[in-house]
Amino acid sequence: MNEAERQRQIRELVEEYGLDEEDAAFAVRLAAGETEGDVKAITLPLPAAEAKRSIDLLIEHHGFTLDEATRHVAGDRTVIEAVAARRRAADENRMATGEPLMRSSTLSAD
Amino acid sequence: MSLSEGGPLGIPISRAILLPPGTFGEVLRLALEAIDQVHGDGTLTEIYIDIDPMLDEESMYHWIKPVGIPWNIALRPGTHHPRLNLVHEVGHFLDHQAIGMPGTFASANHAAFERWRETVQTTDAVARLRAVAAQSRNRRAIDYADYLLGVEEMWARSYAQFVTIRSGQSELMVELREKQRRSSRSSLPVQWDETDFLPVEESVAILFRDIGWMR
Repeated sequence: MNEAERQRQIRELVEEYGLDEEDAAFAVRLAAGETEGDVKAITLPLPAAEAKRSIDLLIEHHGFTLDEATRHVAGDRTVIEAVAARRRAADENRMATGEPLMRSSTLSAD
Repeated sequence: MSLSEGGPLGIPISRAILLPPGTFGEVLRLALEAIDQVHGDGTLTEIYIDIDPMLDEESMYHWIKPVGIPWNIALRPGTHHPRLNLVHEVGHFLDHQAIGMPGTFASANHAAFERWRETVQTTDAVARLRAVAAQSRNRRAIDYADYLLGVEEMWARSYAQFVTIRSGQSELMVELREKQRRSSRSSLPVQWDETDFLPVEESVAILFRDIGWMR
């Protein structure tokens, strides 16, 4: 679909059906078969480029080591449990010392 | 209902969700704190948030097939409803992992959802969606109505609205009100108006009390 036609279809849904722009754009992609929605099943192994992006993100945003990120992307679920526990401990330590929280949730279990 | 009449039981949901650092992470933290104010859960497997500027959708819940374990919740920065989107995706995550058999979407068939399934079908918003699905001549509108009528999607939208209303979290309320204003003028409503949602809200509260996530 060319961009002009896409924009025409989006405008039509906005004007005739009252959708906002984001929902209308989604509806156009849905009808064109470009998406199946906001729930998506993936399979491992990830394509190489996506695996690299995921590893970089896990290291940069979530405090994984390179080894942990590589194992997680390969499907080792034990890694994220260990990282989450480590982050909770770090946050609890920050709470105790009054430092700003950096990453994970602040609340502890009942 | 005031928080004193309900309130969370169990483990806070936010313990299982790894937020990104920085400003966007702080924006999203408010949404998780809102969830924690409303309900807890049992044992929930961890999941991380992926901030992806290249994401086509506003937000996504990804899981790994065929094993049925969660992968991530992806969010595109710069959208109008980041907190509501996160709560919506957490709704999918809980549906898939925390109620019934992990790896299957419980909202479609699980007995705990029966009252909610019946109630949501009686709402005006769902009736309007059905009308478009049955009578429109616009294929895109029909496909979108069918999509919004999917049980899993109705659940995630119900959940997001429930958490927003029950927490009263101000930023989430702003995002919900914007969606409601648009929905009130649309033949394809995404969220319910206040009165229409009341019985749905009660059905979700009953569900969460039944499974021990709320007082």
